[in-house]
Amino acid sequence: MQQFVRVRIVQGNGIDLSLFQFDYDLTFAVFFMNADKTIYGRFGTRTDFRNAGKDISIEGFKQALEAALKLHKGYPENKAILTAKTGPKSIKNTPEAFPALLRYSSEVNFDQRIGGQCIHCHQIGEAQREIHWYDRKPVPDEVLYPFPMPDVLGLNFSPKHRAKISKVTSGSSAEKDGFKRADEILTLAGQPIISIADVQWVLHQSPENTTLPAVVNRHGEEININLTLNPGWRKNSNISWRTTTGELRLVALGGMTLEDISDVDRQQNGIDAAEMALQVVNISHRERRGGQTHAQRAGIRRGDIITSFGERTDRFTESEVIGYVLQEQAQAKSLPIKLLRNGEQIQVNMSLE
Amino acid sequence: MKIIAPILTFAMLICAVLLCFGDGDREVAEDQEIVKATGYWIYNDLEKGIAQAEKITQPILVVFR
Repeated sequence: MQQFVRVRIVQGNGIDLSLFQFDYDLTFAVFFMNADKTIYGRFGTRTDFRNAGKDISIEGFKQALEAALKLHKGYPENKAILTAKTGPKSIKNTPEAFPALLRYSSEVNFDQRIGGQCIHCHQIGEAQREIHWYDRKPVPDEVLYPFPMPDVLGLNFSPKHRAKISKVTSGSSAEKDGFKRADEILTLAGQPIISIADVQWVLHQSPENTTLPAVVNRHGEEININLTLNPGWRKNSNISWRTTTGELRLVALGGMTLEDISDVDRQQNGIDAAEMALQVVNISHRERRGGQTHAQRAGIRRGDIITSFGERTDRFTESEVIGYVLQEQAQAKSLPIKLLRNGEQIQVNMSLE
Repeated sequence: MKIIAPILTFAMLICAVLLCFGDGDREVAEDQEIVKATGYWIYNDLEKGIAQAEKITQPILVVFR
């Protein structure tokens, strides 16, 4: 740590969004950089709302620090391979330039009451999405499913290492590509990888239907493998844990939180394994436009089991329903919803306006 | 010492994260005071960090929390 100049940023106000592109749902995000703002790497991964530290560890952080120092020692000779670590120019230079955040200043006055002055990181993510759904335009995949976890491709990583594979899901595209447990990813798409967040960054920037060249360390030997990204790969991301999804639940689900029911519950309710069965586990109390949420207005209750949403009757996760509404039904004013309540089938129409 | 420093820093940052979930001006002010007092971090000033890194040719560690 002493070999770094250590800077701590405590607010989103005024940050350069072209430089600092990271998962804005994180509570702890790190950039390793050169003084000329070349990025060596990122650190910080999260997949759980309550346990924000589940996917990071001191061991993984230490390894990322060491790898960043190594890249710094090799600079500027290695500058070319670091270029893609910085993203394209952001559509807004700073968070407060987004319509949703116009009320904020670019600086926080710590001598005054702080509450209400600070832009939280998750608000940046919400603002990025809002410019699409507010105008009823489909929210792009990379905005709706940011910084995908590699598990969508069948790769799980150990938080205790830099980027070491702890499990390859059987039957996954990554398994077909030839990835093995204990492989350590050294480079991906030509970028040096120093953390799981770096893998997520490459995936975040990647298009549909492509292959990414990877170099892995397998038992001390460097091996070249291609990582396949099939069409629609990103849509398998789970976004339910994200703080920013709270806003999306209001917009797309009328305030509902949905959970796919267990196989036992499916059997009891006569629902096939391939069919939709999403239980309403919560309906937000946050009022929208001065009244009840759309789900409450439609008469939906906690405990109801949704069996169709719009035209879709196939087995969906909550994240997939949100994607369906905000991408395929972006123009819809309302959607029919079929549900089961105490064994009785009910159909309601839920407004999306 | 080489191992202890990052552990302590990491633990401190995680504590700060938890502190700030509780939020409130008092917690932020106290946190700011502690961080500034230790002198281990440049608090909320990226440009100062960049200038220092340039001067002593060290890499920069930027933490958002």
